[in-house]
Amino acid sequence: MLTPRATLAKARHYLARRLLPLECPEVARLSVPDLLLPFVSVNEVLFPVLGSATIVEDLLLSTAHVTDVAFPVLASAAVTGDLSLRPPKQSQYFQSLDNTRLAECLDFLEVLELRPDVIPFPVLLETPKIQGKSYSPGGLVQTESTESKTPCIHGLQEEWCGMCKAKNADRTLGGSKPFDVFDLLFPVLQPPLEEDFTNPVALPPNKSLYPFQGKGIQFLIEHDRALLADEMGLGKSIQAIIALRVLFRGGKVRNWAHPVLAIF
Amino acid sequence: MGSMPLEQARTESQTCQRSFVGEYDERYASDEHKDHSMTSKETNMAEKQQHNAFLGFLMMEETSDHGYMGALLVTTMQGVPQEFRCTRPVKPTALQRPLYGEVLESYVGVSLCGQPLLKSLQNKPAMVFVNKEYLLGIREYSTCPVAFVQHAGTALDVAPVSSPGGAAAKERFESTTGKYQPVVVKWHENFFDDRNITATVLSECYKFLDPVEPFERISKATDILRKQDKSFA
Repeated sequence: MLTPRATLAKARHYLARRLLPLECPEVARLSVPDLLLPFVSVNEVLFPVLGSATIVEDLLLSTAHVTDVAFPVLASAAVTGDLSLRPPKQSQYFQSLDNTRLAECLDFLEVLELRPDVIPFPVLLETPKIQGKSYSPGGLVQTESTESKTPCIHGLQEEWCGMCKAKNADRTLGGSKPFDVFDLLFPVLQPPLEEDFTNPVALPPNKSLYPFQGKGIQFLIEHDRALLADEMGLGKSIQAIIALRVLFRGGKVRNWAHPVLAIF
Repeated sequence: MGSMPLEQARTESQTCQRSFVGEYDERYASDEHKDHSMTSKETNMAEKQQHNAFLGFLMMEETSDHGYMGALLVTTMQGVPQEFRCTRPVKPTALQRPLYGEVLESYVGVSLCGQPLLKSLQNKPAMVFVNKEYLLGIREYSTCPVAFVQHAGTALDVAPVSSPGGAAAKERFESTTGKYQPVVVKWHENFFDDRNITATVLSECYKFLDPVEPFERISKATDILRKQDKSFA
């Protein structure tokens, strides 16, 4: 059995470690997590009932008769008031304490403090989803993405889910396929065109430009506005097309905000 | 002698393609028995497959919020894109980073991004170029050679090719046409034979393609992807 003075010292020691911040040695401010102390009872005042509401008045144990305080109204409150642990002067506070229960409570708190809190968190990194597209011609089977293996919003694989199938069918009813961002990337993934057009990507196999056509392309590329007035049959179309390709691949034509007007 | 490794790689590449593409496999598995019934389109396609080896460019990129994103571009020898695959970003938490320590990047690059990306390909490349040295670890799980490539200007100490069992070998290559900047190539230390295949592949593709340039394309593509699709951001 603890004496009142020893109990107070123990409680003060506990509160000094648990409660933040200590404004002065005698007064400590309570915060909500500190009040989540089950089974703490100070003469029938149960701390767990303090839940998440607010005490607007100070809880002065030194001046109040604890047994008379109507704590049940604090059923869902949080404490923002100050708790003074000054020894009582006017009332015989410690005489009315149930020392047995308080001692049990403090023992419990000690055990609670010894047991560290365990916070689980994931350590393993998950394998990311893969998306992509095959642009290879020739009718090879194309898997749009491996994401289709993941369950749909209804918890099934998309190819098994009737609702998702119907939704996709509705989307394609208008004749246009659903927008695929990987189609948008295709021009970006093209190799750059060199100015001498020796790369077989630039022209079809066994085809080459005449020197004057190369000069014409150079002329078109270098000017914001240009008129290509070659004679009929000298290849104005191929020059214009290749000039547009070079501009596009070079990033000088990105969108329709600055349209390229080619008149043939 | 020089072309042997490339032929092997092409054969391997075609074998992989046939095993991975179901319908294509079925159609061509019985080619020996029905050669006469092949259409001209199929013949052209088969010829094209035989004469075209693919290159893979595997890139790991660090996103703005300290995540990692893998992307793989498969091109022809001339650099024409055939396939593009990428992963969603892997974002290690502040607790995971110190727990993984120095192996974080190689684990994310090789195990989480590189291997699944290579497995997901339809067009199996004859050779894979990577933009980070730690990605050479993929070679242990891949049948095709893997080489780390960068412009010669960024690698100051180019040591001569070391012997098998020594440190990772690297060598400088120059474009035969002189159009492109020289590159320094590095291989996995346990796969010294990759050097011959790399030399053969580079001798063929270096006329038309800078082997570092496709990484710029991939970088542009992933930038666009992040803007278009928030799940990649």
